[in-house]
Amino acid sequence: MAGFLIKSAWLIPLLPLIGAGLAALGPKRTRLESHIPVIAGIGLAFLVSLGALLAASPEAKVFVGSWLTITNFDTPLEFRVDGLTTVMLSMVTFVSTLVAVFAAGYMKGDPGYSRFFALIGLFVFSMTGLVLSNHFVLTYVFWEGVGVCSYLLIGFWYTRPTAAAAAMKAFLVNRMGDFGFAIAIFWMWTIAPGNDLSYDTILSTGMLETTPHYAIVGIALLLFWAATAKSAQIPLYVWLPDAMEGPTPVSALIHAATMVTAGVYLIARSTPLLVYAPGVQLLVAITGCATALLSAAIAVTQTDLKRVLAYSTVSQLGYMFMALGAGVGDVAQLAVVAAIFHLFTHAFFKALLFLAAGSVMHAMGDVIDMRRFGGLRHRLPITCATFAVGGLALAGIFPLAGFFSKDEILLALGTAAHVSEDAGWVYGLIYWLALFTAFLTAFYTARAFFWTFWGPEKLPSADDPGAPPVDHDAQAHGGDHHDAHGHGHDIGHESPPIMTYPLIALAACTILIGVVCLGSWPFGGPSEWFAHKIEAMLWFEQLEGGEHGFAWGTAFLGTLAGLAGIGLGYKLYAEPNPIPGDLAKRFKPLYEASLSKFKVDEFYDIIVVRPIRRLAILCEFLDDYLVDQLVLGTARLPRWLGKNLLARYQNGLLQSYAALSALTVVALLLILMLF
Amino acid sequence: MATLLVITILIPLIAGLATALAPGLDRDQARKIALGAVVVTLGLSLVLLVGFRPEIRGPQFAFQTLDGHYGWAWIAKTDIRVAFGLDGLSLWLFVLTSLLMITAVCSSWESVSDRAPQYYGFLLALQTGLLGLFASLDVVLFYVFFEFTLIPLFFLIGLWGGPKRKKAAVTFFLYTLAGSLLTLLGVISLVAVNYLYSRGHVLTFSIPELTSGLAVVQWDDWYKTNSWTSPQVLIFLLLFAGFAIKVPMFPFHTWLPLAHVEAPTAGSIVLAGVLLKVGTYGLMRFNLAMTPLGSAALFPLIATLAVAGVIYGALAALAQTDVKRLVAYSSVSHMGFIVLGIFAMNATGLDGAVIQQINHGLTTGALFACVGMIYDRYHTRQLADLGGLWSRLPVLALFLMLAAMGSAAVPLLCGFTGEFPILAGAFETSPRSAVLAATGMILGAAYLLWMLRKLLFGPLKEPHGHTTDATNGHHPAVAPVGWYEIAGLSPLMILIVLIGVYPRPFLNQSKLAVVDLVETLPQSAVASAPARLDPARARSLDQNDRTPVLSASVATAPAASLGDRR
Repeated sequence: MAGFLIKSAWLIPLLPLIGAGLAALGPKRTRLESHIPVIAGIGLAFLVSLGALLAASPEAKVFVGSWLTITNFDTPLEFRVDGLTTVMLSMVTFVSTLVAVFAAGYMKGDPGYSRFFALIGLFVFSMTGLVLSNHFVLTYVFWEGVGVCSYLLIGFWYTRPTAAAAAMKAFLVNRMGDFGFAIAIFWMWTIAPGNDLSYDTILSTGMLETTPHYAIVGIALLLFWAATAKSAQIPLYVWLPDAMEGPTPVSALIHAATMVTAGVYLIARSTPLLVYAPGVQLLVAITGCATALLSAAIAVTQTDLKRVLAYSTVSQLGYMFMALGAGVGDVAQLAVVAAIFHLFTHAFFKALLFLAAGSVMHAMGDVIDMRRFGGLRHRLPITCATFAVGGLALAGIFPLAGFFSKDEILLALGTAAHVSEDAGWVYGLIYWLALFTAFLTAFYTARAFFWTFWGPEKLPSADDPGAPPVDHDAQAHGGDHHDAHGHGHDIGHESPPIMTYPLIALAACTILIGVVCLGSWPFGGPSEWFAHKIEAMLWFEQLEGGEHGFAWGTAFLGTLAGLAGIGLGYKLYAEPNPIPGDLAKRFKPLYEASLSKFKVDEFYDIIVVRPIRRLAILCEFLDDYLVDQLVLGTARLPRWLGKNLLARYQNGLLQSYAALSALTVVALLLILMLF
Repeated sequence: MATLLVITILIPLIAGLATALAPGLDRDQARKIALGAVVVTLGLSLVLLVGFRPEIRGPQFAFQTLDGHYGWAWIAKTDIRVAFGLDGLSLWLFVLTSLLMITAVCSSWESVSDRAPQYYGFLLALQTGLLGLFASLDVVLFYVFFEFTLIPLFFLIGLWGGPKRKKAAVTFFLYTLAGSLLTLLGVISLVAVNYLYSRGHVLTFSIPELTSGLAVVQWDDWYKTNSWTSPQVLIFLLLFAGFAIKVPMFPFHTWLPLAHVEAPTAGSIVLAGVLLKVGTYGLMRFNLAMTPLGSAALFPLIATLAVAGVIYGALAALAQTDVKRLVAYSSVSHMGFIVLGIFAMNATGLDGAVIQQINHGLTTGALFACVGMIYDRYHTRQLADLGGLWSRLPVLALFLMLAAMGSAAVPLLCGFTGEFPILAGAFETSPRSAVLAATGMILGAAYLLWMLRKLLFGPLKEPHGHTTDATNGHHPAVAPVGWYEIAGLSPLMILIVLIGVYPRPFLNQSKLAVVDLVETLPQSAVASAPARLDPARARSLDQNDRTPVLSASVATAPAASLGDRR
């Protein structure tokens, strides 16, 4: 049975792909009702994933065929069905199914309906392929594949210039990461025996112990560089907030729950390699911490509900990297488990929050600026309740899913501070900064929740001070996709069941995961059930592990930080009051820095974008006025000579040139024949 | 099959002559004859493709005399022969030529009305030139076709081109002619070296015989590469002159944007799709195969030029405001990749280069066809004048998107299957140049996405006089995408996806030719570079045979490697 369940893993990417194919190219009926084949494909893939999850073992893999075969090198289409992969797979397919169901309601009436679902199917294909791959080249293939799907989905409403800009930015920033990934692969290529780049070989102790240290450090750094792009970490996080230009289900699925976790997955997968480079691990932890703190600090002042959630995603991904970076010494096993556990729980509650935000947006006629609505708890009761569950989980409040996973990460950081010999104090500092970030997280979540759902009721109207004039522009330019998903109905009503049921399901899961953890708590560690699944990961036994029990102190501090944040959020935002405005005035520089996102985009524009543009213009200029002239000048030399020496033959007639060249050939041949 | 190959090569020429010279043909008849001829040629090329046996060494479909010579005697006394045949290096280029000609004819369907019979005549003559070139097994025959291709293209640009067509045509012609004369000198020197120093003074012009003969000539100086005047280095440079201009390699590329902008769409398709490959094909066939030591000695120079071309071409593309110039500069960048792959001097890079030639032909051919479709409708190619065409021409948007993504080497589309091995092979030989060239991946995505964003995304923006505004009935509506445009581009799109998704059969056909070519290369030069990278690697090399395929075939190779005979 187990063998059968593992062998059918190849169906997991295939089924969504078939769904996408039917949605895009199928008969007219499936194109009109394109959500049906895609939801069915992803749903079935989820069932197969569950089977694989039950049967997963570190050694299990499925060989499907060979893909790119060249003289010295073979890329097998081979899938690894271990614990890490199947946990990711179940999460990805489950969340995708619910998001697709939600989108069937949300995208109703959009002219690009079938394109949307075809792309969603294609995305799930790429994402499942990415986590199933057992080979670095194949991982790279799907790694870029998810990037392309993300590009096409961010730019889904292609008539909007902002969407076009965001899509391009996302793709290019991701390409910069891919560049590092590609170099890492080439480097592995030169050191791997038999050019074998499968996980079995590259991550094995035998391989790693014979590889020179600088190569391991280099490869680890390059892989981490790639991960910072996909998982939106400093310095390459800038694309993710802009990616919110895509339809909200896309933000929920790709830019919160699944694709952005690919970098975390890659580093978790490569942890056997990373433990040979503790310096890189420290860098991972520091980067994660800095990203988490920075983006949380930005999130506290944003007024666009989706942007708050986007920065929150960046921040939570930073948390996962902090955990992975803490995997020094015998914390290694705990670090991987903590990071993947948080990745898993985060996917549920963040997808939930985004979909709830989408539901708000749907009800508000595409308005997402929190200044323009408020007090929606009566009008949108289900959305409000489910958002509350997601928010509490994000804030890390007992006993929801987020509490346990955040606690694990803090535990890993705290342990690393004791274990690490050289950098213990750094991990200690990161631990306290992580706690502070937890406080900020709870605060901005509470702020978003109370501002949207509490206080006196307020619906958006056209004469709001914050109402963007963009709408009129779009109409003037004949943008035929204005109000693109055709919300023809009146605003202010709860979303239809096809949208609220996924919300309820995700909220239920968020609670359920907490309850499952609670079952084994506090004896033997809160996430034991989950940990056992992840421990069935390739080369996991190769990592060092030790006993790390539940730490009451950490749990207490974490909860305290969460409650303090929520309390502050309630105090400032539950009722309209002047305190936030006063605070903003009193800490004006800080407030404005946060509001303007610390001007990072502008900074990149100055140090990267503009220099490249200038260089490009310089090249263009050089080409016209230097290279061309130089070559033409050389070409004129014979003409000048000709004018003075061979003017008779230089008559400018093409025929004589041709004749001349033919004559030359003949002459040379004659010379040859004579000798 | 030997006859079939000759027929395939000659059909376009015959049809072309008939079209151009027949009295009283109108445009419709001419284009139908042309389409018929290219379809038949493609059909026959596909028959050859199916009949090709990848497991056989050396040229196939070649007429062979009893004493083992290829082809029929042409100039008897010197043994210059008319010999055609295809091997793994030329097979795909041959098929690509036949395929792109369909796109070229289809893209001219409506846009060419002036002197159409002559236009199609030149186009078909150009096809024979290219097919003959790739199938030539004799250096003189190769050279004749090499020069011959210039003539039809010269007239296509000069007569049917844009406003500056005269200047473009003359620049193009003189530029390439200058280079090819040096190449001729190089080719003749090769023949002379082989004649003077081979055992028994063999005077041969046959490409296969020269390749094997030159590897074992009894002349000590031939194997020295210590100075610029060493024979192999010198001959390499002579050969290189013509091919580098054709490719075109930085800094000899300036004729290309000019020629492309002025050329009619079909001219651009063939020029970028096939004619540039004449350069890389020559580099493989002559420079790499016949002067391998020269190639190894000059690797630093060639790699520098190639990498400079990759980056410089991409940056220049980024600065363009005319979309056709943008695509032209993208060719400079992408051809740099191919040259880098060829001179990586290992099977990985060469495999990538062979398939990348095809990929580049498909994607760039498609991009030029799309640009032509836009120009036919709006009579502008300025990015600033256009926008949001996705809403107006969704089929064009799909084509353009696929071609651009394929060109940007997105996995599961064709570009990746070439670019990735090229960079991997180059990394083995010279990590620095591979890393620098890989930045071209980012820049390449940058200008292609920029182009897509300008042309397809955003609110619809069309030049004045091309709106379908109901209030103004004077202006003709923008023509929807026609059947001939779909017919011309669909095969390219299918292949762009197919090569990306299932590259094996495509790589398989050229595998043996690549292995044979790599065998003749100086292995020490290749092996030394990665050792520099990683001292501890020597150990792992001993434990694991890294190139099982190669070593196996060395044992059975009929033409032994350099070291054995010397």
